[in-house]
Amino acid sequence: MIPTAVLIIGGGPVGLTLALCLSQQGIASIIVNERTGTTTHPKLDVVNCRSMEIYRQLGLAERIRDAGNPRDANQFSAFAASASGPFYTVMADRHWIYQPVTAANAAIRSCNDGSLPLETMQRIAQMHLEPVLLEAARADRNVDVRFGQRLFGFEQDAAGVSALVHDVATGDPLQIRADYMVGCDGPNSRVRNFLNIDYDGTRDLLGELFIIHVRSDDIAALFPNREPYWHTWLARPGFSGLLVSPDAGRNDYVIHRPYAPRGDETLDGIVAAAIGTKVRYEIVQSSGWRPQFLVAGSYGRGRVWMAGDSVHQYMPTGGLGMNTGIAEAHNLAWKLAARLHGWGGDRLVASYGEERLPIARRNRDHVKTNAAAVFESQFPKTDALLDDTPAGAANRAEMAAVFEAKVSRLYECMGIEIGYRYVGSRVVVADADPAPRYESLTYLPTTWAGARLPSGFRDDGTAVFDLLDARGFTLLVCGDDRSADIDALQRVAAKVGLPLRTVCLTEPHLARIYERKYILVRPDQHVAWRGDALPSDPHALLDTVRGA
Amino acid sequence: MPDFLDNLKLRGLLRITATLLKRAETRSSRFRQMLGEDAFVLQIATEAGTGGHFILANGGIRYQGGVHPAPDFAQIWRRAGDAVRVMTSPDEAELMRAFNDGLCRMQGRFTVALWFNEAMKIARTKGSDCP
Repeated sequence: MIPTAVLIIGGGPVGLTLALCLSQQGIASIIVNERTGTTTHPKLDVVNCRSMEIYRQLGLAERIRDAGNPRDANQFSAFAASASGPFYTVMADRHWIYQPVTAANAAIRSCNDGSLPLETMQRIAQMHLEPVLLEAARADRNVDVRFGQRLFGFEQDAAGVSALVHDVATGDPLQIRADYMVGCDGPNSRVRNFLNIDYDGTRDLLGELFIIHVRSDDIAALFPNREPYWHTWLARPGFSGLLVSPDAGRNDYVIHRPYAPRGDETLDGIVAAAIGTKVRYEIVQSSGWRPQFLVAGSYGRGRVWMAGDSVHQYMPTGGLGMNTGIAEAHNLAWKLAARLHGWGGDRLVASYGEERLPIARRNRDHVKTNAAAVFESQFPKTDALLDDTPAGAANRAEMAAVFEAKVSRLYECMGIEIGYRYVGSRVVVADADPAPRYESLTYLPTTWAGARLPSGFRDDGTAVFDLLDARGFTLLVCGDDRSADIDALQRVAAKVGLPLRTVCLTEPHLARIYERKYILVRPDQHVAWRGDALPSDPHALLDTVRGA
Repeated sequence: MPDFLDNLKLRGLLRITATLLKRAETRSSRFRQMLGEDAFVLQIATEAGTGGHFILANGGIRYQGGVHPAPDFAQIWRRAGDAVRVMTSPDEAELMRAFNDGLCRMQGRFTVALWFNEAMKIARTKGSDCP
């Protein structure tokens, strides 16, 4: 029997990220993955801002950017009759999120009011993201990656989890004993099935959609500077769909249609309709798929937990599937580590599900509204749309206006990406103030307890996030403070084994962003407590935030 | 004559749908939960005005024949026969096919259509399998 601290079932982006987060906390893990390699399908096409902040904390942000869309290439979203036009509109300048990484990150660094994330998004296909994560995991001494092995069954007891794993090729069994097990094993999660946890929604609300992965060296020439837009949404009489270029530096494209081909339709016919002109291409793969809006009834129990698609399935309208899972891995890793290191209390790991389940439901509602917005953007379409007449021009203008008004919410949603708060969490000290206003599309920076800490920069350009302790808590002190209360807090932290770093911030603009003199920040960059004076009972404060 | 029969079928189908939804109210906890999630008027009618609308309000759903002046979501069908065919199809994607083929127009909030899709799936579920 092989012992490990954490057994991770599933070696996709969420499982690999969890292993890397655990390793950052000094925790060893074994990843068991049924497939023998990383995916060959483009699949997801964005690592969002929050996930890029997390990858920055892991030291992987630049490696992911190296593997994805070139830093100076666009992240535009357009609406057109076909890839060869006419284009009704291109969303390029209306929000910074569409800007190339270099320009967007420059804008972020010049903004110092806490309203922007620390990192902009990265346009990248899953098939190019996974190898970066896998390489990092394989190079990490704390991570034992075992591809080609499948979970057969498990039992949990008060002290840990005993799992039986089979080699997919040979059938050879392997027993693993872990302190904790985490299922990151996708929509058909065996872990979730073994736990007998079901989804709370209804399946198949939209039926079967269809996807075609093509490779072409010619399609790029249809776009300015041979730089395909990230998303080109397609609408004209008799046709609708989406052409995705996950990476402007590569020749992979994905064509989405809202239904499978009919009897007389061919894949080549669909490609021709989407591209709108004759180009050379190769169809790599195609398949039907069923979008879902499902969230599991719970995230696990005892010593077995889940993250990613095993606990939620979303239509990718807004790119929140994997990205929600990355934030889940980030939330769970430090809690497991705290328990394993001995300073985390009994309630800490269970707080993972309590904090993340409401966020998963909120994200599900958001992508559902996004999906509706995409369909609604097609509604103004008339038979005159492409006519060279005043009626045609008016219809095209209406389509453009409706598209920008509705579909922009898929991209311009900083409230969803970085504005989530762990309201009512048992490991967050309830804020004395009522919850500040929340908007899904606009991020309103706040240090209200439970919120992600707003990102700011010191006068020397250092990001405050880079000063936070990834393996412990950080007490941000706005102003120069050497009070005895901080020493008392440090002594209590040392007594219970909780790593606590103190960072003094003297910049007035940071004091404005952070709203209070003291902010206690968790390893996952969320505010655990804030106040203008340290509490008289530091034991009670630290016991709450460590779940004791 | 075929149009007349199709119009009759559409009216009948909408009334049966209303009955199924009422039945779901007593059988499904998920459906009862959904009744409180939104408030809207969903209309299914032909361009000529045959059809009706469902009103979700105050935690209950009811059906009325005829055209509503300001529905929150509307399917407007060229022919009643296409509406009947799509509504009785097991393939949820048929509605988008019909829209792309120009057999129907849609207006308003599509989240209402998604609500209705879910409600109909529950309403058609056999008793013991009801969520």
